[in-house]
Amino acid sequence: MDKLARSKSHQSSSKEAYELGKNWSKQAKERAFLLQEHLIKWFDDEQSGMQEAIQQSILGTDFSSEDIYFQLSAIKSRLETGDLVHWVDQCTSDRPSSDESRHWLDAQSTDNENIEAYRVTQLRERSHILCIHAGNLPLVGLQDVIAVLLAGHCYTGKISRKDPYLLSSILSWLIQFGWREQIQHWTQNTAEIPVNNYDEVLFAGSESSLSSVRKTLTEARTLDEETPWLNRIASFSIAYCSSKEAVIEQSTEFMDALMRHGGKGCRSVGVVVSPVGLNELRIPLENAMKNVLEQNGSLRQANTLEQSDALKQNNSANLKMAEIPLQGGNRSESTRLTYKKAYNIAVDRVFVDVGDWMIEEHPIEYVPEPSNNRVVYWVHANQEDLVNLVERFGSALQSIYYVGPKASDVKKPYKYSFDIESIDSAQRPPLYWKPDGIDILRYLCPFII
Amino acid sequence: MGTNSRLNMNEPFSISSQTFEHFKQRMPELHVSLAEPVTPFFLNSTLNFDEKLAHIFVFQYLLNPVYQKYCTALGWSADDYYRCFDELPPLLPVQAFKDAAVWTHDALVGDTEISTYLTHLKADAQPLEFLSSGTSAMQRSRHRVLNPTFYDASIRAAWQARFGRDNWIIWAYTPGYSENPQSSLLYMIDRLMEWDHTQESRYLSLEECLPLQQLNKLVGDGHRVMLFGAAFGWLDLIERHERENEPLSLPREVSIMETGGMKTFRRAISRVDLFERLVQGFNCAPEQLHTEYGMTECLSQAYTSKGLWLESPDWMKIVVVDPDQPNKVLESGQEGQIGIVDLANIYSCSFMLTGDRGVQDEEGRFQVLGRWEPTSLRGCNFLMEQDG
Repeated sequence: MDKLARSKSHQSSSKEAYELGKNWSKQAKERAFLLQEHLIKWFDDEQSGMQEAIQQSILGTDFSSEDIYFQLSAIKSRLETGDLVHWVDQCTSDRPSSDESRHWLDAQSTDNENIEAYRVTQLRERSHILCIHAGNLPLVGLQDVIAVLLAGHCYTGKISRKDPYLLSSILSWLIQFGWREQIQHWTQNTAEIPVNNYDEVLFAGSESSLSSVRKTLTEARTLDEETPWLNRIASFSIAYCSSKEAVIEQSTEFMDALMRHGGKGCRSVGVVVSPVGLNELRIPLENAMKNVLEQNGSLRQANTLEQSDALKQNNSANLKMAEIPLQGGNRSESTRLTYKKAYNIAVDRVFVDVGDWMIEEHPIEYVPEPSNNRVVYWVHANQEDLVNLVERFGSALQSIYYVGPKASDVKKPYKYSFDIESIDSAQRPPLYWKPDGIDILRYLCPFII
Repeated sequence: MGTNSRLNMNEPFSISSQTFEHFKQRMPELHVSLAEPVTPFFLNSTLNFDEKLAHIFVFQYLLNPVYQKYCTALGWSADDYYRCFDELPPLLPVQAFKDAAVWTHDALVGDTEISTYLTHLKADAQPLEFLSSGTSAMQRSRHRVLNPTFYDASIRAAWQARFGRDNWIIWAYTPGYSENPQSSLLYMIDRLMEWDHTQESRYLSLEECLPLQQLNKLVGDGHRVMLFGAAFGWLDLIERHERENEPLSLPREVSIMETGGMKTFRRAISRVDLFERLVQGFNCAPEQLHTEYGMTECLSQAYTSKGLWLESPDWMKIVVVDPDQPNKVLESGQEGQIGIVDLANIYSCSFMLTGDRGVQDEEGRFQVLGRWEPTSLRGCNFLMEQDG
């Protein structure tokens, strides 16, 4: 093909891609409106199966009823705020980050001409996405489902056996509203994942489980070895507390960020960085932790009821509140913490402990990656050191929160794609939050340029 | 012998004269051993292991402030001498050697330095300070050895218990001790070299092949030779011999001591694979391969006695405990975290919880299976791990 012909062909591809892209955006927005409506119905309709799923989750998972209600309330309020439409708008108007949007394009093509042709193909065809969900309450799994549906792709899911109820209920509900074409299959058993020409795998889990799951699926020929995987392995978040006063003023949000979901979610704070030493905040922190634990029943219930008002208003079935169990650790966990406490005393480490929760101060040079969900590390350091820590923790770190008057006061670690979030969004993130720093909708739609 | 750094003595803390008198009367053997250095206490043959353990528990409880605080917080006291016969005293995580100064303090008895009464605690010789390997940016374990007598005795006795009293020539395929005076392993190798009466022991160049001619000559002269080196050092040496076309064939009188280092930032190898490759590479019998298990925080060493199983000397006890409940000793065959009671650790702490994963057999021998990596209870994976 000569230069002129190539140029014409390119122009034609570009035009086609532009038209298709415009059309895709329109359709994606329509999908967002519809999905939003259908998901809200799942919350509101007595017959949706939500009640049963909640009760099953209370009885059959490790999550407390209080955490389940809290999370569902948060999701519902975000749906009502219009998060899904906002997400699509954001995706189609913002420029993509290199990580999120160009991975397929880069893999397929290096010149503009081919990129346009590839965009056209992608815009015309549906991709098949396999989602391997970890059981977790922040519902990264639900976010993956939403993103796949908004993108217009086909969904197949491997749902955690340990937490199968809520997501299955939502999927069953959506099918009744015309999503069958996109929601193709879901199962709790790896062996039952249908063989398909999957274009992408979305995985939420640990690095250690990743290799074994991947091996099982490739050995069973469910997947091609070349199928791209997106792995979400972040395990904790950092909070930067600017001052003693800020911690005291925002102690409720701060404690929620530390202690909600038993500290297990990747959005839970595992490390606190502050120019204030732990000793200076010992009493207010102890009091705040005690408040959470002592009033676990009443306070947490109050929180949940308040949060659940939105759910209840249009829900004649109402959410029946079960007794809220204290999130106590088991005996071995308690013994382990007893030893940890003894160790801290032995090495003169400053720490605060209430119940089976502990905050311990570590020097910036040696603070380890937090692994125990009930032990939070406090680092007496400034903002410059925060940047070093972000670099050191790498992919294990999910988010950075700010406790103080203005989040914009925190110097952003420029090398990384972290947004500095307000502490009150830690456990109530928007539905378009970025697990492992990746906007999943943008990731699944590299053709939106 | 290299120059070791002088210690900065910590602020002294004191025990009452009454407490000290109580210690003297209650534990005369330990008192004598520390007051009139003759036989190191851990080699004392008039007391059994449990009695010596109980003595040392009380001694370290009184004189090691870190261990004292740890034990007190776990409900132990200096009065728990007899309790030691029923249960293991608390095992202090070896991390403490990084986070604090773990040693039997140069305490005051009333107003008088304790070393006035217990001359063995007097730092009249040059005290040693060993550091675990790592860069200056890393947090490293510091093990202060006030007086090298017990350490030397432990090295010699453990060696003789495993390899007999015959003379061994030591060749070390390691950096020299003089350049690395903070390495406890190199200190040990240096002592073993010092005790070789042929004076043929030496450090080998890390950039050259094994001097096979000299090695064969030593064997021809009726000597036994032990080659010390780290796992990957040996593999690199085998590769060097292959590259330079100098086939290796180790005479039966020559043995290899592998000193650890199964994992570097670039490579990792299992012990079984390592042994296979060493047997092949050195063209030797499996019996010629040995492993030493020791650490900066510990003055005694265990050696393999049969295949991959390690055996500790009489004054060192290995236990495998539940990582979540370190007071719970696991049955043989169960994997857990390795705990050590090393009675030679008189200056620091004899009761240690290592960061190693291990298993024990019914005879008390043990294997080290790697590092104990705590399962992360944070993040999306916390329910995924055991999911199908």
